[in-house]
Amino acid sequence: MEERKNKGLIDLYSTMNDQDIIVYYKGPFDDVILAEIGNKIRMKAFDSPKAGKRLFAVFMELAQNISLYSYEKNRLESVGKWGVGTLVVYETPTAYVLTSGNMVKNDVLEQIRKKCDEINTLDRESLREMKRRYRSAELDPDHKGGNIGLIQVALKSDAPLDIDARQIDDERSFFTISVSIFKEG
Amino acid sequence: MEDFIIAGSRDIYFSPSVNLNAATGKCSISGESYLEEPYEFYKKISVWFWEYVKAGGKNIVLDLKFNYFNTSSSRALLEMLRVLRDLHHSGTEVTVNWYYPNPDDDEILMEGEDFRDECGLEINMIEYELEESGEK
Repeated sequence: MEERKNKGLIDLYSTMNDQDIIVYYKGPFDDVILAEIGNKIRMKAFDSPKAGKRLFAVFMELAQNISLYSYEKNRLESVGKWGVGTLVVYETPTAYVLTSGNMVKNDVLEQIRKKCDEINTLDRESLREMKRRYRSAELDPDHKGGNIGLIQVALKSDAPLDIDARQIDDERSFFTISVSIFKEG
Repeated sequence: MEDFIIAGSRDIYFSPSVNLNAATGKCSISGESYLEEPYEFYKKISVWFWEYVKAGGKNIVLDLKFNYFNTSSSRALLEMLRVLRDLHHSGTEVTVNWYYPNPDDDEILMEGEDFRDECGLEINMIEYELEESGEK
């Protein structure tokens, strides 16, 4: 059994190596880990500084979404404050691709889907307009974020938000979002 | 009325440098903003503006020079700008200058324009040259 587990990990690692993965992380997205990975991405000397800056901004928004909103909470603490999720950054010849994944409640997933679908139909100016509209709207007092993270991610990236989900049970789904940032332009 | 000063820091969170001068009304916020409690942070600055005006301050000049802020900070910043708009509407002379770099990889100018459209306060857009030797 132990051997099989190790084999699975080796396969996973080999697959990641083949895909030019720069960062792979699974676990709690607490503030220290977020700062650590964020700063590493930021300090890396990218061939295109502009792409590096955008990758950093996108990372920060998606990682904070996991911290604040993942339905799965950290099991290493007695009080599960920080959200758990996963994040991968890999490089292709033309782009950096960042994929984040976390558990969401099924009803929340529907809201996220609707928002992403709307975002993906909009051009740049309309996205800015949507950002201003959401930013000006009142928020619930317990809402910790800005509610405009996904719109900002779309503004910083060059391709539509690529979302995917797999239902785990009646309550939860695993949700992923992939963002591409081209090295040129 | 005392000055309000916060030294910028970059540790687990990034805090901008804040310098609010009670004698001259000349104020600046610059650097990076990714904060544990963004609303509390900018609320304190808004409260200082209120008290400055209550203590007889007639004009505020605020220079904003950011090179990064996350979306939670941007919402909190907007609330602060709306406080300045209200003060402006009730008679305080308010000037807000938004600095954006050249080259503007992070589209700081666009962010400034969006704030201007949203807060209903005139904001001056001012370009500055980015030093090459700085951090990436």
